[in-house]
Amino acid sequence: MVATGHVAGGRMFPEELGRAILDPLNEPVGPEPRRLLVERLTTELHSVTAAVPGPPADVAPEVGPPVADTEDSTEQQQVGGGSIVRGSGRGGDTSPQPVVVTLPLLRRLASRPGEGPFPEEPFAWKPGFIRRSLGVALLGACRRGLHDAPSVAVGPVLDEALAAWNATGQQVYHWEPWVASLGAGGRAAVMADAVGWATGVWTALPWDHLATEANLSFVATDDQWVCPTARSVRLKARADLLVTHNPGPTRGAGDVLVLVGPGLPPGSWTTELGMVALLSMLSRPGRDIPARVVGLWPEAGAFRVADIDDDLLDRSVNRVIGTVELLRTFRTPAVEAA
Amino acid sequence: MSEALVIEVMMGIVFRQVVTTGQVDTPFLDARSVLAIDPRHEGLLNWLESQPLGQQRALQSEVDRQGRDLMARWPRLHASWLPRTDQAMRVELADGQIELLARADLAVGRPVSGEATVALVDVLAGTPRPGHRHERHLMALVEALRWGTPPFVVATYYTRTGALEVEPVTELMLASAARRLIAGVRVLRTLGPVASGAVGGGIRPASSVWCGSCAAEAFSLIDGPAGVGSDGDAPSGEATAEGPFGPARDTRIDRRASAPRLVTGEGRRLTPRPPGAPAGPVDEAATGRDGHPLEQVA
Repeated sequence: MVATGHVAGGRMFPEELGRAILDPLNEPVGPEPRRLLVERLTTELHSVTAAVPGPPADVAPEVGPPVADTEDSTEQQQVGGGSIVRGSGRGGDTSPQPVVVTLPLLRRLASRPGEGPFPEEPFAWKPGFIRRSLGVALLGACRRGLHDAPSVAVGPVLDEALAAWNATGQQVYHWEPWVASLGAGGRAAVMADAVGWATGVWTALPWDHLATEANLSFVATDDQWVCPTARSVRLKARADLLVTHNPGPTRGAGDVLVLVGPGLPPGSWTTELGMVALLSMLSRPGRDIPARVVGLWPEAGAFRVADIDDDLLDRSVNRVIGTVELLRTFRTPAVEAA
Repeated sequence: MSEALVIEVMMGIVFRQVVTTGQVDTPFLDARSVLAIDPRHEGLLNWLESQPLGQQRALQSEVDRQGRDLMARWPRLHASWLPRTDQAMRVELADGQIELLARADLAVGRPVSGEATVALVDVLAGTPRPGHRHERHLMALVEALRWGTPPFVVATYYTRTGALEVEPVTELMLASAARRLIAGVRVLRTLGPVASGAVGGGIRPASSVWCGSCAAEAFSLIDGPAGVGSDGDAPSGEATAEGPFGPARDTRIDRRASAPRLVTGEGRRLTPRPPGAPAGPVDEAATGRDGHPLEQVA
């Protein structure tokens, strides 16, 4: 394991990852630094977006389609949401569409700042959009001892989800109607994607060891935050696993978020992990900020650890603001005409 | 676009279905339905649908035949093997200047620090070619760089014939793959502006045993004349009906076995091994929730 200051990383072997997750945690960032951070974020976002009027303060921006797997590198729809566009709305609406700042968008603009966000595409389901939410469900089923491995969990978990939707009409995962419409081939593709994702995580973590030292819960939804002073700006991120340390004689309790990313760890992984903590803080004001965020990149067999402190949160805020600023330069001609 | 490419892609889809669900009744139709929901395959699907009906029927017939053969031959892998399909492997080298990407159609076994426990399989629908061997060597190298530990075996499975070429991963293989990689990177650096399309319209298609579809005749210069592989452990050259490495490597997967195992023509088996078990022959049925590392038993 390589440690540099308050961050570390290594290969995704259970012993190393277990240590990284269970190492003693820093004290959570206190209330006053949190207040100052939120104040700065809201003030600067307001300043950045002032030139583009947002919807009235009592109207929340429209929430996009219920796409669960925002971390997939192929999911351009999620990245494409990051534009400040006016005049493209329904019925001649000239109010700006929300700026959705996600991790893929941060990464895209960091690596290719000249290219801007991916072009907007109409939403359409595909297997890659489901792998994460179904994969998390597979991990939960395996962790509860219902199945030995994701490959055997996938059939029953999928059947159960579709049966529940059939019986109640409620969409727990949002993708149930689409998956139900697929034939054997399409459904197998969905299952294979989810099994691949879940197996990479299942084999990487020392589940039993973690469970004796901490409480584990699987996270199935995005954290979202709408900037109260610039309501066209929405931040969105998610983790996949929440590990809450049990207090012990040598350490206090605290939360560790674990998320799974696509491809290689990006060069700017610290602030990306910091943004996950930031979103957790913003969307759950009553809860402590996670003390640590661990990123897993199974394709690279690598993990990275970011211990969350004032400095990292500050840098993450800078990155969010910088991203929104950069997006302003990619206004469509419609905006300029307006 | 070609029929061969369409069959290759469709059989990759069928293979995933067989491994994941253990069942495929209508291989062509199932694969076609997957093409339709994956935008990456839009061009391929359009090409397929633009073909005359007779051509489409011929393709369907071939994919269905290979799919049925796959179902008959391929074993249902025990969950403890942790089978996962279409596995991407990425490694960054030289401070991010070089990114290696390989993709295994099937990976089994849990990666363990300091122990070779993973097996990788490349699935192909065409005729065996010398380049396939280099592809699986590169796969082994990328996996070794990713985990710090190599896979213990890499294999290529041919859905057209059911042949399975299995190679234990050796230091020699990895060193050879690394040499080829370094030489290839050097060539790409030389060709840089051309390869990127900035000069001369990009790399031109060229006939090469090393890379038949994209480029680099230059690669064929790396290891000397065809017929002498840099490994020194096997001849290269044009593939034959018996495979490029001789009939002795002909291999079949035995689906009739009660426990999953890959049986090669040379009598090697891949069997699950429980955690902590000593190296050597083990009871095939001895699998546990955490155990699965595979072992090649001579």
